[in-house]
Amino acid sequence: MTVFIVRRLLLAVPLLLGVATLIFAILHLAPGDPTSIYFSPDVDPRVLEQMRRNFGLDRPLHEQYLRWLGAFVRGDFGYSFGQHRPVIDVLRDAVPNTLVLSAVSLVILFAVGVLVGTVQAVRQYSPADHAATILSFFFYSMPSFWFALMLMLVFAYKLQVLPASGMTSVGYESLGPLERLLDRVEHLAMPATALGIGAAAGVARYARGGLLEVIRQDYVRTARAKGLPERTVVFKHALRNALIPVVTLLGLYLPFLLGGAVLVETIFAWPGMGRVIVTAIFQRDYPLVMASTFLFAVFVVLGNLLADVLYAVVDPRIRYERS
Amino acid sequence: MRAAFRAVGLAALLGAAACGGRDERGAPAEGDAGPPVDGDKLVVGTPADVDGLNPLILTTVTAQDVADQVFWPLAQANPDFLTFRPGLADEWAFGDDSLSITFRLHPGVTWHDGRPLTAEDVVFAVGLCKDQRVPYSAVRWLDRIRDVVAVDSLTVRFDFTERYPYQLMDAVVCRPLPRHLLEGVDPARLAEHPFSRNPVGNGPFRFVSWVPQQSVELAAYENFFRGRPHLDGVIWRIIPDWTSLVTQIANGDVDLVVAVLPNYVPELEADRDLVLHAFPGRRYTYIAWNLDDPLFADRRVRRALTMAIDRQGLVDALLYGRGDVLQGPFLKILWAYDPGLRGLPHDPAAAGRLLDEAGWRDTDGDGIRDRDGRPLRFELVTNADNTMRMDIAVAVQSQLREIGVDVRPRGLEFVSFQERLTGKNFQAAVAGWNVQIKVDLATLWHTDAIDDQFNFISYSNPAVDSLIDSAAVTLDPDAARPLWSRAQQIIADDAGYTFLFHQYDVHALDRRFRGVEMNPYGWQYNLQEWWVPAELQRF
Repeated sequence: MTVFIVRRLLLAVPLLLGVATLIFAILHLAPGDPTSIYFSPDVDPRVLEQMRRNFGLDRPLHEQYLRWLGAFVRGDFGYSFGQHRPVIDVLRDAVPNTLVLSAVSLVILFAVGVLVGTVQAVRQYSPADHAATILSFFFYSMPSFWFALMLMLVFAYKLQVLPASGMTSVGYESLGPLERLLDRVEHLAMPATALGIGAAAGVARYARGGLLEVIRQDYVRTARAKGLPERTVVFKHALRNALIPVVTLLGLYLPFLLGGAVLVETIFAWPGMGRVIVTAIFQRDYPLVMASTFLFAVFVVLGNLLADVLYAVVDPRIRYERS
Repeated sequence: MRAAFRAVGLAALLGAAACGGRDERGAPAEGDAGPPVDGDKLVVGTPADVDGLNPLILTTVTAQDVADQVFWPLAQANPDFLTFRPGLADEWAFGDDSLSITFRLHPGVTWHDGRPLTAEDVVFAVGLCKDQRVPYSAVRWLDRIRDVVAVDSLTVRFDFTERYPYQLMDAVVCRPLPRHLLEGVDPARLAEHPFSRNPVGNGPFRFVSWVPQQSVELAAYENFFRGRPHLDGVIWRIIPDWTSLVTQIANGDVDLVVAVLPNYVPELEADRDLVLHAFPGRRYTYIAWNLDDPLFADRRVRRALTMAIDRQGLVDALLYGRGDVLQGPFLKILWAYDPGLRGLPHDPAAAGRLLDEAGWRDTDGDGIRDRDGRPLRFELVTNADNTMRMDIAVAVQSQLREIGVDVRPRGLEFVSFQERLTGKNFQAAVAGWNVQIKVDLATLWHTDAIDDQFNFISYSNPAVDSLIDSAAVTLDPDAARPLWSRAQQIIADDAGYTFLFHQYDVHALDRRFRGVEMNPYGWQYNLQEWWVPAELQRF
């Protein structure tokens, strides 16, 4: 297993390097540069020249690439042109927020998805199953940003029970510990739901399918024949095996969540990576775009690895050994 | 969110304008009586984050607004754009030869860390502003400032290379910085200095905190030399999405939203807890015709296209009436604006005749005019993130179709669009400018500017050139005014741009604030005088 993980991680290195190089090329091929946002008759062209020099953009492209790569492999992500501070500081602020949001979404989407899928499988072809199927398809095919706006419309604008955006309220610092927690939860509720609901619908489909398959197998019939209560049969015997494909999804949904976060974070003013990337792209903030997309690529690679490892953990039939 | 990054005239550091604020629903009645009381905070919702708070290098609108409260200028422009009122300086005087201005600083002004403000701080800041390694956007305003001298600790003299109308405005554009905190900084690395994230200023509000992507907070500076502001503080909350922003002001989480997008105005107008302030702003929208393109080389074609577009209709439909049809290159907030300017009327029939005259007729019966076998067809580009401009492009397409002109609208990503303009690689474009408060036609309309970035339509008219050249050095505004009038009339007649409209800025503010005066200078014109009656205070 360890050998497998190490091998996968080593294989990821050239992959990530390729990704980084590709991003670098695409970014510099795009029209404009970081000084483009200063386009105005009020701004002296000399100022733009000076900025290009300060940013090192006046040097040939290959030189910029080598300089960037050299610093990058040493762990120096450079300096954000748009935010005027080290990229690492920007990431340090934003990454935890995105991870909190994604982690909560991940929990919500698996809890809701598995629960709904189980109910559907147990009550196959019941009205509840049909209703849940229709709803699943609805949520699965619905864009997260639209759902986010609808949530906001209902809960923040009409009912006014949840804050429309941000991570904390004004005056958060003066709250007690419990109130702080509640405030954070209130602010998390809508973004986490908007981000997770589509994937939850997907998980529900997988869980339903998996459980239906397992529930017909001999060992489940044996369990029932032993006289075990239906609850134990479903949750202890059937569900465990039915969840194997769902566990794989865990790793695969990670990049999905990060991608969705770009839109959801913008709508709910959640100060995470998604917003950082969007802003950085519009500003042509090269170092920040490079570092943050690279980080996303790392998450994707890790997510996939996690899926494979978990697969082996939950399913003893799978072994990653040299054959 | 995108609007935030469109370079906003950094000249906004300065200035004010005529046409005071217009409260659209009348002043609120209760609690108005009595002297202003201290207390409460203002929460501003804004789509743009701050990118630094050093007044020399910040770029976003929000950063500008915040820095305006933290750093005070030597003097502030009055709404007439010509005269100034005291800022850090109590008084100033021109030298006998008018080649110098001497400012007398207000005694006892302190930086927010308690250290006294001195003439040396002024000299130090101007030195940085003029330093080639500092990307200070208004640097060319300082080109004709030869030297700055601290005469004594409270007296500072600006020496100029020549006499010209905007000497005072140029002298006060660069705001003083605390030398004791910034001395020895590498000018090329000024933006990276911790000062940009933790500024120490001298204005009515002092910096408290900045949480990137979330909020910026200022608090009243108790020792402000002109008296403590009434509000205890101002908080900017960064909310990039407009739906979210509008929701937040509707449910009271936010007190002020600046420059509300026109399509949200009717909704906020219906909100009884809000007061909308609308007044002519500094932005205008136009269609640029690339004069290098043979299609638009003929002035008759440009005039015909202008007359075929229903500009009042655009104002009514897209701005909900909050704007004026624009006829020439000056906005009415500028003193040189000529109210007697003769513009082109909306007259599609006359437009058709003018095109006939120019040789564009529909000879093959396909509904599109043609000449020498070429149809009258062109691409109208704009930046796709700006839905209003996209709407304009589509409206123009259908209106011009009526007179047999085939317009192909095309939306581009913002920076790509900009590159197409500056590279003169376009036929026609829907675009806009944020104007500075100086009267200036040279940047956009002078022949010398064709190779610069901004005269991208390649407009050239020797008569305009000479009018601009003389007006720009005429010290007496009354003598300059007729020159500017003639220049704007010629520019309007030549129709290098089809000037569409001058839009109003609409700011939505919670009703509890009193003493509010907004104008084209900005919503924060007299923020230090705002107050909230005790019974309505929230914080």
